[in-house]
Amino acid sequence: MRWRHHEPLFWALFGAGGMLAAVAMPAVIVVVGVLWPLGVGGGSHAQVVAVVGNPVGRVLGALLLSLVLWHGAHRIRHGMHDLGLHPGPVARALTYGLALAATGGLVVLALAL
Amino acid sequence: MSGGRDEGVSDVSEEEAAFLPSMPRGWFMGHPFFRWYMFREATSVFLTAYALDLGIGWLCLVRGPEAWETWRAVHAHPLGLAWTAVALGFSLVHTVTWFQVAPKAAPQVIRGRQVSARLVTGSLWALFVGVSVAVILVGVL
Repeated sequence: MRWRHHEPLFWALFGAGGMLAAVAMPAVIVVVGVLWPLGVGGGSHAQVVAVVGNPVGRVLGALLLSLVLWHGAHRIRHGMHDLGLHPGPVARALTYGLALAATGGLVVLALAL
Repeated sequence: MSGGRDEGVSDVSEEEAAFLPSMPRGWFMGHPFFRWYMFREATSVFLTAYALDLGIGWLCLVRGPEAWETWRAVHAHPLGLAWTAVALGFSLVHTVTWFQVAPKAAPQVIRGRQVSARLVTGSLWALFVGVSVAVILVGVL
């Protein structure tokens, strides 16, 4: 039988990503997007690899970014209804497909660091 | 409110289209509640874009010191910092609105006792402060 009720799975990913984003994204943006580029308290390749490249950093980093992307994919897909663009298979492929591809990419990056 | 109906812009099947209500394009501009709703939903576009940006940063980190320094320099440029400031603003709007609606998704009763919305939102803000301090301390160590 075809599994018709995929919404709970995508809603769970949306919820998990939304919670992680709400709790952690502002601080992550301040550190990675402001402090490191300006060289406040580090930011060199070796220093950043020490923070992101340890096992905890790899797992938390990949988890945060991939779940935020699943959150965004779900919210953007549903938001398209509000703009009068009714998402069908193409929109699904572009939103959830991008999130899935990015998750795979992040796993590869986490293993490669 | 702008006119214009939304026929012909969907990639749903004809049967599905029959059940879709037709709305004026700018329907949400007429009421502050709907404007705020659309603004809140729009945070996801910026969170998505910045998460992809951070993913590119990670890719640069993997490629080596030279690529990483390029990513850093782009983000230290005034335009890069402005982009980060916009993303940070939307990220904070997401945090505020997410914590506002969280009590509606949380259990209403735990062990026979009513869970107040203030307790849920307050706990989440405490968690936010704790995580933010930890992330910043680890980041600038």
